Amino acid sequence: MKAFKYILLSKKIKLFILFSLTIYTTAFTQFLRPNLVVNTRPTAYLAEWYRPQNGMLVISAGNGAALDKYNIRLETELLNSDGQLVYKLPFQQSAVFALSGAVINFTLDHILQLQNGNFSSSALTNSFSNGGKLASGQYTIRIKIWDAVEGIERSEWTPSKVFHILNYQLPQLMQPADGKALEVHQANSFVMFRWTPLTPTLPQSAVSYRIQIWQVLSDQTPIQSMRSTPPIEDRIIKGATQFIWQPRLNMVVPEPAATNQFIWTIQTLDEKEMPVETTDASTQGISQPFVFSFGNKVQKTDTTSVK
Amino acid sequence: MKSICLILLIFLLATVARAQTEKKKVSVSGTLGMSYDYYGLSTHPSTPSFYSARRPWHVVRFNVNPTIQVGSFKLPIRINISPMNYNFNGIGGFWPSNIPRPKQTLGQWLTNPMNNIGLNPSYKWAELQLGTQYLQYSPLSTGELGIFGAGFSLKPGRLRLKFFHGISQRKQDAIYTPLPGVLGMYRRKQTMAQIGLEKEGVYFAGFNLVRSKDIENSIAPILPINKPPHPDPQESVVATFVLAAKNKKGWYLNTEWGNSFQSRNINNVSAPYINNGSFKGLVGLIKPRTSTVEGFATQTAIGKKSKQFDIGLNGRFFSKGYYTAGYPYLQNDRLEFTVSTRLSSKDNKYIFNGDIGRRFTNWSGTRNKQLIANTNFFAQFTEQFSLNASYNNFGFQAPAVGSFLGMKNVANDLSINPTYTWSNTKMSNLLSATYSWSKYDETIVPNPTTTNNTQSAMLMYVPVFFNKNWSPDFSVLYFQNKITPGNIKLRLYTGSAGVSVPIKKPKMSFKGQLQYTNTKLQAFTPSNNWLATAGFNWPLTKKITWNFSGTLNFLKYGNELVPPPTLLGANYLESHVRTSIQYRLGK
Repeated sequence: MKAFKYILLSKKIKLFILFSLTIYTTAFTQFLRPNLVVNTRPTAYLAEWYRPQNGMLVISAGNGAALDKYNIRLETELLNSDGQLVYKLPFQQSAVFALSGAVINFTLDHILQLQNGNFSSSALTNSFSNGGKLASGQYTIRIKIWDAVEGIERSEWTPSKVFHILNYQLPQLMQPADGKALEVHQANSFVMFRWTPLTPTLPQSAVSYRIQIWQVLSDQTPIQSMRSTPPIEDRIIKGATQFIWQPRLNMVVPEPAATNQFIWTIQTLDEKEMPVETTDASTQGISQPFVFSFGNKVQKTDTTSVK
Repeated sequence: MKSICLILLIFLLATVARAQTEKKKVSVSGTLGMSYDYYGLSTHPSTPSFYSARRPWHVVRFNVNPTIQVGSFKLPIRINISPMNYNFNGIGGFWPSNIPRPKQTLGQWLTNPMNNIGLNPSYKWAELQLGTQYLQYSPLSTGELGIFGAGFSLKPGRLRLKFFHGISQRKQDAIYTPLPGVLGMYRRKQTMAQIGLEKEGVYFAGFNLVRSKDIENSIAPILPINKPPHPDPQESVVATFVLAAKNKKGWYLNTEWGNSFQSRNINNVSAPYINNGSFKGLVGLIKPRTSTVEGFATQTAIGKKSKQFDIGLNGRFFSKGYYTAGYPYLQNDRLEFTVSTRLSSKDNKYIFNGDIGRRFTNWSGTRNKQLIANTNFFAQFTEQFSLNASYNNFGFQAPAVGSFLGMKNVANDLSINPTYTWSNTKMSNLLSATYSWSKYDETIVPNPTTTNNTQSAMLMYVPVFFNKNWSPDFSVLYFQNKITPGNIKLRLYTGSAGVSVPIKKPKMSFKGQLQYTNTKLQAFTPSNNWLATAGFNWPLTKKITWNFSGTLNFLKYGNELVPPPTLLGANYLESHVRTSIQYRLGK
């Protein structure tokens, strides 16, 4: 009888444990709450989404219970404004992340995992590998959490987060043309600078152009002077794409330590006065510089000809 | 690096030893000297600040540029240095005035672009390149930056072989506070090589390979939260093929094709490697990462040149991923082409130059279009009278993208410059007038068009007296710029007089100029500017020359700086003195 009771009890215990496990698992499924935060205007370079400025994924453990090395995988979908899939990270291809603690933060490179995911077509893959950027437009992104061991869902899809990609084209310098020699009497009174605007143009009040002009030293190349000496003109211009410079310099008496050659460029700043992104992040929104000089009357005009 | 140094040492010893055994005559030529710049600025009132210094207060520079020659052995030495603690931020010379400049280490000083120390010993067709070198391999590979390192250039027969390795970007630790801070920059190493065949003046065909890589641990780590603007460590590789040829009839062809790979970030954690086959080609030279992009570029020029007629077709294309560390500011994702021509009469009295072309930027996306057209006509009607006229047209059009509804601007510039000379037994006279008209319209949809009209007129008179050794020149200029809507007007009157005087005792040449400008902006009272410059070139001996120039720039503002009322009549005086002494080596 005792033995029977023991068996019965044992069965009850087993049932209780089984029931508890079911409840625990169900509770755990609802336990992971992903909160996806995406900057409405992140960088177009997806590889730079590791920077927190572009957004974060916050996974919280409810009920105050801290997770202890709980392994998950992520599934990510990036869609364009027509709802077509652009990029997908299937959870089977995702890296495994061990969650520990009550609130866990991830930068967005963890949800993209460019090394593991797939663009939806070879054309998109090529486009990305040939430029590293998403094309301009509106996109949405969402993620889902999976259990890394059991391969079952641990969250619903997050609400789709909308963001906009703007691929800026830096200004092209126009006037004075590259290599142009300006007549010294006129140029020492005024020099007209013009450049094309940043496109697509930011709201007119937001974009700033910083024009910088360097005088080339006699034993330096123009780029060397640009990189090593302070500009003789450094001015921020809001909105306009023209600047009238009054040099007020000695251009008459030959100076052995300086030439009559100048190099100028435009640095484009966004509404936060941060440099607009360029291919080489080290160049900080600086357009391809042009060189001009004061002196003779040689006529040289802007041209697209090969140097 | 050690092996390179060893090769260099052996080369140097061998060539010097060979030169000595030949007992050739030693000759030295070139210059050495020093220069000093003083800049002064006084503003009235001193506060609030309304004008900033635009030069360093003191700059001293030394230049030692001798060339030692022993038979076929040449040793050009180039030392242009400044002892000033003049750090820079890695991009431009700009350094925020509120942040003390850290003292430079010897390594930083050597690789500072302000300084230039180089040796180029050569023996017949072999040249060593040591120190800072500005080596222009080709327009699509490298050529813009100075690199501190070592390499060689060999030209035996028609073979061309070049190699160089060194530092193209010096490190700068990031400074975060006080704002705006200083950008953190990694030390960047560049390795470049060229192999080709050349028959001078006839053809060149060769390959270029350029690889650059930032040293990730060269500066203190920058946290992701501090980026941007601080860039990531980068790596790039570019390979190009160059072909240039011309024949005796004047036909020419210059073409270059390039393929590049660039990793914007080489940090193993934030930009891991990828192995999905996305990249081919140069992957043996760069391990592809999530931040790697591939690019392609080409440029070609074909045409014919002759005495009376030139014609040329030029084109350039840079894909959106094209990047070369040798030209860091190159704008990619663009296509441009142009047709140019020159016509002249047999006596060269009538010359016409013209070119027309198009430039497309943002080629891979919604394309921006530019039209560029230039013409220039010169006519020497008589011995006394000539005319130069030019017309330029630039048009730029950006299509609508999302909430941006598109924009368009058109610039038309016309310039006419007649020149008349006459003379009698005592003097000759030159009278030159220039009239320029410019119309620049910009339309950002849906805003109304902004019109920006500019007119300027200049008259210059230069008398030359046959029986006097001084020669003056005079010029007057009128300039007006008007922007509508807003009716913003800027008007300038400028008058200047200059003189050039050769002096017998002491023997020197003196030059001076006085310039006055009256500037009126909108309804503000005019500002007045005086610019006085004087200087001389004095050969103290046959070998030593002293140069001096001094400039005073005084500007008194009208009421455009008001408020605050204390700035009514504000003025500043800039003084700038440059002097140098140069010693000429050799005979």
